[in-house]
Amino acid sequence: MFNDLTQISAAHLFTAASALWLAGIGLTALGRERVKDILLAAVLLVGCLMALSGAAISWNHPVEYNQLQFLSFGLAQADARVDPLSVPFIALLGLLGAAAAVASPSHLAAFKEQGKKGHYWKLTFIFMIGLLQVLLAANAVAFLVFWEIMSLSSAALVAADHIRHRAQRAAFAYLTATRISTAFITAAFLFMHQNTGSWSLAAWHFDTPESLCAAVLLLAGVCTKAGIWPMHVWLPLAYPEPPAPTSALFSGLVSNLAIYLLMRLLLAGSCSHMIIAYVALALGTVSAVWGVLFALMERDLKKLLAYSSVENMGIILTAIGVAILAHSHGLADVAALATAGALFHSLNHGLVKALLFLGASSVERAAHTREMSALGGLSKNLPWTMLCFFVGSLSICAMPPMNCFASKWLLYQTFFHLSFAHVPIMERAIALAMVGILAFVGALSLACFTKAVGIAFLGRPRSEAAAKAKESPSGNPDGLILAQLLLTVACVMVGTSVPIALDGLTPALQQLTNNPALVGSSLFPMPLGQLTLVGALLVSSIYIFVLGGRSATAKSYITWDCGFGPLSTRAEETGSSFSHPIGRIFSQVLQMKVSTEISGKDRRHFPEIVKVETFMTPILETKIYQPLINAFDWLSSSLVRLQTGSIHIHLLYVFLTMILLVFLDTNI
Amino acid sequence: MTLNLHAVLETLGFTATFLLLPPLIVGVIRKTKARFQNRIGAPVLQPYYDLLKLLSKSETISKHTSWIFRSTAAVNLSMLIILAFLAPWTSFRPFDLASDLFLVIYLLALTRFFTVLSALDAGSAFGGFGASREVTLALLVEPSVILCLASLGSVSQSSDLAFVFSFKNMELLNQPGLWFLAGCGLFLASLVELSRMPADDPTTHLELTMVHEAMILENSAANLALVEYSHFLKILILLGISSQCLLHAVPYFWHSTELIRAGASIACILLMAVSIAVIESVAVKLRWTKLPEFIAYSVAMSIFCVFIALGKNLN
Repeated sequence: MFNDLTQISAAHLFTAASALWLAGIGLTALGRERVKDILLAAVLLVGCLMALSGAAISWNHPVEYNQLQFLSFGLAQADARVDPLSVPFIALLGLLGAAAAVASPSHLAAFKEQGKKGHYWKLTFIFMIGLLQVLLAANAVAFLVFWEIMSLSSAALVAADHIRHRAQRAAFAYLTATRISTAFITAAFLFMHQNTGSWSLAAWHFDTPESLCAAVLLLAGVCTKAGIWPMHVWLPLAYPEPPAPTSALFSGLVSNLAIYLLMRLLLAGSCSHMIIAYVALALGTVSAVWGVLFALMERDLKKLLAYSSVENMGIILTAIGVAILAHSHGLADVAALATAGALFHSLNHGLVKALLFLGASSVERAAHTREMSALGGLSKNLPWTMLCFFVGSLSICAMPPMNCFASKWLLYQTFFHLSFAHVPIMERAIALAMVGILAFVGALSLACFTKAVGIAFLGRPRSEAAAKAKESPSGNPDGLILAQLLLTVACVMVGTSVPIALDGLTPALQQLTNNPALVGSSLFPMPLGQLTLVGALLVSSIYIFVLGGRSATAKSYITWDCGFGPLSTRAEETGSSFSHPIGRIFSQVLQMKVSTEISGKDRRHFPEIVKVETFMTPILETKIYQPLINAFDWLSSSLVRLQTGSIHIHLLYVFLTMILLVFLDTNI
Repeated sequence: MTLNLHAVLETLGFTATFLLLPPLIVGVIRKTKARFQNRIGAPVLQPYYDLLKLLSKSETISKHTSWIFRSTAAVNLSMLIILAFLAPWTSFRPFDLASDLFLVIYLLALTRFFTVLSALDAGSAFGGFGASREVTLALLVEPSVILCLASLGSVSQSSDLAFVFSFKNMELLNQPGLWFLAGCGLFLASLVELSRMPADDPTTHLELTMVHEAMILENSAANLALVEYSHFLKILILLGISSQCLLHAVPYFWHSTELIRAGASIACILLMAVSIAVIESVAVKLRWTKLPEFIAYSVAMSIFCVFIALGKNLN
């Protein structure tokens, strides 16, 4: 009886949330400006809360329902299903959606133009509906339809600031990537439909030899959408462009949904193709290293975050690869660790990346730039943003006791356990090497985020705009800050209560590993919560007893200038100089060149002009993609000759095609 | 729960040891270096006096700094105290705390995170240079540290360092090669992590060429005392871990009593301090661009450790 009740109410909640958002699109036409923004934000927020409560109700009661059956897509109806795997992602959607709703009114307050606001709300609602329904879709056809709604609406949001050339380029690159991704995924779905005769995602299993082709196509599609090397080039272009609240949804969910699809089909569908596992491991490793290296060299704060997503998606992909590998070797414990690591890290990363993007948007709003060389010293004027961005950076560098530490720890344990499991020695060698590579990537990401925090927020302001920055137009914390605080609290709470969070993921893990005995919290035996408490007590007691008493007598003075008088802000370390030593070490990959030109009469001892320039050529874009694009351009300009515009020629084409078809029909 | 007086006393002794020992190590290093240079040198206990003097001075803070600068010293010292309880820097541990390898590494990384940020906080060029160098060195050293420890863990099939370094793990009993390589790899890595000689000269007068000293240039008085003391504690922990590796390589200690091992642990750490002083007296600081080659030795040793671990578990 109780089960029935939960089934109905969870299903109703999700449908009601979608319906509410649909109604929100209509509401954009009504009402006065300021009231309307708050009303629409409330609509978005209520929908998110409904989705959250729906997820809470159904977290261990799988629900199948068919309330949208009037939406028939020809091949199949819009069946929906809430199973343990979709619940955590729906919860993430609810949380990030709530943050976006809180941040929206203050973001829109900056816009004078009414039309832009209307577009923002319409697109956001469509985007949210797409996201939610993708997670609920039970069959491939419904999945693809909503996947497309999600992709296209998000592409439109990327182009929100379409007057700028940068946004146009980003939207175009993103559209191309989503087209390629959808093409691959559609092909994979068609293959699987042919193999199994069913459109239901749950009925697809990837353990037969015929499914290999579909699995490869799926991996290609997902890698493109998730921003895995070498298909990541769209990501640093597209992530920084959407409006602030959307960038949180975009960075936290879009790539994650691709990972969700991969988990749903390959992990829950018990994929047993070793080649997929190896390819996932290899691509994941390259993206992790590549992503974090380029993130470190990046000068634009949001692009830095985008490249860091490439890194994290890569890490998650390696974990999925190991999960497949362990599954086919029959190693239950490694498979459990890998699956938990992949799932938990994708959720944590979504949360943290949304937080960091909101922080970067707040910086951009305050200082009107994202260039780190023009920032600095923001900790004074933007204390809340600084605090949230700092916590987010701690988390994404996997520092204990933050949430990403727990998921990174699971990933380390995955590889560590694989290194002494009963598997071929080559795989054990790879596993130990991966431990080293993860440590390397971790150290790089520490460098990357100390740079982001240290250069953007600390030190002295490097430009007038940074010196005059204000936290919000009114000076008080507004919606954008509140949204960050919300996500910060979520990060800290998850980080300090990891066993509870993992217990919440237990049903999803059981579904993914087909192991009903698995308990999430047993994977993480460390008393991290207690350690955090001890650490906090120690820090505060040392602070109070050793430093605190002396604060009153402390003298405030200038930063040490060697007695040469006022320090120019140009003497400060910039983002580029901070990462320069690392850039030098990896100059081959980064294609970094430094040219120094010293001129003056006695140029050795008394140079008059010293000019140093650093060049970086993105190797993948220039060496691989540019020739491809050129070839494509050439091909299309050559093929355009076919299209003469003359009706006779076109009739001839039709006729020739018919002859070809008849010929094919008689010969096959 | 019955409070075991013996255990409490032992724990107090342990805590007192790790709280009091660190300045002594630095004193030994300085004294040895002075003797090498034909100087009498400051007393071995001088670092204690210095710390006490710093604690009583009044502080000067750059007006450009934020709360990061003020909290770094407290955070780092707390993390290192936690690490002193967790990390296996001595074979004598009167309590039974699990110390996960990856937690230990990441707690060290957390102290680095704060140190680097506090170096950038005042906006001085010195701090920036130091911070930039610190993250670069960490990046090169980190894989070697983690691989040395992970290969030990892999052989004993546990990531609990307290178990790996407990002299109880029979898988690791007759593995002097593995232990020795891991010990040497970790020692070389520690030289870099602790900003000692081939990587950084802690005694020059020019902060622009340094790593650690450049980062803490803006600290003064009690703040500086805490930072210095944290650094000393880090020396104790890192040297302790590598000396434990070397002790495990000697079969004799596997069969001796706890007291001998505890004494040997401390002696070995002091011996390492002396060897650091010898290295610093006979070697020169490497050029910054040559450092990756030096760290490559440590990485190579860690890779050999990995090979041994893979071979040991051959099934």
